[in-house]
Amino acid sequence: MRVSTQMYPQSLLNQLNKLTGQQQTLQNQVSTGLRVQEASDDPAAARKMIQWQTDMSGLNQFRKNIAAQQDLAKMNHGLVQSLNSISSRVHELAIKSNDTQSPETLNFYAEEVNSLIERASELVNTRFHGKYLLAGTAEDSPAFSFERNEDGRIIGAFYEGNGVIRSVESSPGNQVSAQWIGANDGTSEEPGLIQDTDLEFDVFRDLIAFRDHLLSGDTKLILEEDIGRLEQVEDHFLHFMHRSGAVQTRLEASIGSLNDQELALTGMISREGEVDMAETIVRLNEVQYAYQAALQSGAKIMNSSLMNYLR
Amino acid sequence: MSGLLGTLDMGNRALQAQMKGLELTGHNLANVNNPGFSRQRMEVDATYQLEAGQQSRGTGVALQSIQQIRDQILDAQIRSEKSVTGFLESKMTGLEYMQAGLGSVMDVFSQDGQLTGGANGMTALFNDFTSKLHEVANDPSSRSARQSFLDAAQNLTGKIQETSSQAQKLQIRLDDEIKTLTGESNELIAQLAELNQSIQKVERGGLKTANELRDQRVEILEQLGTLMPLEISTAENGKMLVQSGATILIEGENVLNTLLIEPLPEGGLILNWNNDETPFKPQEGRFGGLFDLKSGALNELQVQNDTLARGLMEIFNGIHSKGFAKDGSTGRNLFIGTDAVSLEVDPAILQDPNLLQASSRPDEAGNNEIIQKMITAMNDKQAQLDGRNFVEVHADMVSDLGLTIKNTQRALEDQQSLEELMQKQRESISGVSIDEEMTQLVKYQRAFEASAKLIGIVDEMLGTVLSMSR
Repeated sequence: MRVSTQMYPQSLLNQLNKLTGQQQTLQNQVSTGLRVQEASDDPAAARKMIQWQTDMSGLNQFRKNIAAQQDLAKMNHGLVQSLNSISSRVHELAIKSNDTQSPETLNFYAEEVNSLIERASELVNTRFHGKYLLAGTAEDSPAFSFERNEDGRIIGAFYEGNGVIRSVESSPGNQVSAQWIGANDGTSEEPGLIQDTDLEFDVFRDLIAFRDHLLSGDTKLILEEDIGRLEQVEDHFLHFMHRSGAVQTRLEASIGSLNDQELALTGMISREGEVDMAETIVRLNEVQYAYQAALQSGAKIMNSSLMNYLR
Repeated sequence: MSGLLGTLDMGNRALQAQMKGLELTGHNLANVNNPGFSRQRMEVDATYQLEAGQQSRGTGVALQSIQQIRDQILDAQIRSEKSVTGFLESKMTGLEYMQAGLGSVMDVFSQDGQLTGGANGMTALFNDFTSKLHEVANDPSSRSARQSFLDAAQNLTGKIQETSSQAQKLQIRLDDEIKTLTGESNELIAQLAELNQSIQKVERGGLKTANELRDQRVEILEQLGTLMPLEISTAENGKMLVQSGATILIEGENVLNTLLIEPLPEGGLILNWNNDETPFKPQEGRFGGLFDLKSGALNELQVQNDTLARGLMEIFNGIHSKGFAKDGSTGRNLFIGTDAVSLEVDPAILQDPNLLQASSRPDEAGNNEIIQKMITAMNDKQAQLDGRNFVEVHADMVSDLGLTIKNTQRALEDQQSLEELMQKQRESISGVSIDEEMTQLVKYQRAFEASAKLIGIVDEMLGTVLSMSR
């Protein structure tokens, strides 16, 4: 094939351009550590990585949701423990309240039970982050209101909240809630902590009845009714304590699962998006050598022609 | 003519011929770096005298013509390939603008809520939108959670608006380029017609070839061929016909059609041929690349962006309007606007986050069911989004653009290799080789010396003859 003067320099220039382009790409990969810097580098990988980033963001959010529920569960647990210690003490007093006690002692007990009732009335309106814990979704007003007699003693407790709890997503399509409601009037699917129509349970009713029996000295009723009822109260709170434990265990397990998923996702994103440093550096060296070789040989060939030899 | 004077004359003609050869070699060497130049060669023939009944007598050499060494078929092939290259190059440039402005820059480990630039910034914004929805779900009565979510929603709609306006800017930019190319094309068409006229003048009578003008014409045809697809043919009257599709641009020295820009009322423009009044819809050349980009990748991006905007509006407004705000009000839409350009969060809700209708029932400050429905809507596949969810639509936008760029890049590289190969072939046929021309120089120099020697000898012989009569 006939070779004109322009062909060799043009050819050389084209090759140098290609090598420079390759060098630039490899240099970018080495300095950023990324194989896929633009979607055009690998469109399929780019699409996957966008999805995975969204999944990662989801995992982080689920973790936050679960953490918030864990805090709530701990609050509830603390609350029910306090209520339980009240009910244990009241139960203890009930057992002690028999005919062998003097009316003064019974009165003394009555005052203690009254102050425990007052304490319970504060506990059931506990707030957490400014919201009433036991009011269901009607959380901006107190869960319970109380009726008092002319002596200022509590004679009735009325639930002002609702039977709806708020749940949040702990994983795609799965909801979780550590919330309890103060009372179930028979319309809610959730059991009420303080009052429950289906179970015929009412803590304040039983505490108030016992106090009033103590005040009136009616040890017979205390023996026949109050002791039994107060045992039920204790069992009820114990049951909720177990529930709280179970919820916390479930939440811990969810966190563990999320951590595993996050690890796997991180691995996948890294595998698709990151560059194999060793391989890339070797390729970069190869291209640099080829570039040097092209320059050197090109310079040598372009310098000689017939003109060097004609006088 | 015979005898010594005839031989002298023969020597003289030989000298002329060798000098012409030297001149031509000099011309070739002067144009060694001229890419549009085809090397020229002398065509010489031996001259002779014929007389009836006599032996034919050689009378030296005469220059017949100066020929360009050129392959016209190769020229036509190169012009055709340049059309394809022009298409791919202008499409690639446009796509690179799209990638830079609308972006597909990947930040592999982007933090939530951080703008990572370009379209990938939209991934972070979608994720932030969802996260902040969760925050409201966790604490629906918290003003700061509501405010956070509304800010995230506003950022997202802002990004969708920005994408739309960038795309519109790019359409305008492409239109500006089309206008520039239209001016260039019309100028090239006029130049071609003038060249045809000049070539016709010079070559009248058929004795001479206007080699340099023909070289220029090939160059201009190639420049025009890069812009639009061309077919060259000869009319019955012998004039050159230049056509693009069915439209005849030039017949000989006459310009029959040039390009006319017609702005459209809704924005944008179309091109028509001014005489035939037919539309110009090229499939090749730089024009073809620009139009392909406008109606293809760029249009597709705008459509998908609009789909995102409308989806957000329809789906989320449908859910939100059924919810209840903190004051018990209902029926308000979360987003206002009609398309990607006008989409935004209702300013009234932005100003007063308590108007966000998060609850499914009035008087339940802690109810998050409407928010939960919104979260589900973000993750579910929606009919308005062609059976995809929001993130999938966005991921498709990014990966489709990336794929188009990758494929165009590959096609362009292949095309450039093909064109290089053809250019090499042409250069091999028509290009000047210094070594070859140096050899020619030596050849003509020696021949000139030999002819000069002949003249010298004949001169001596004439002198001898003249001194015989004394």
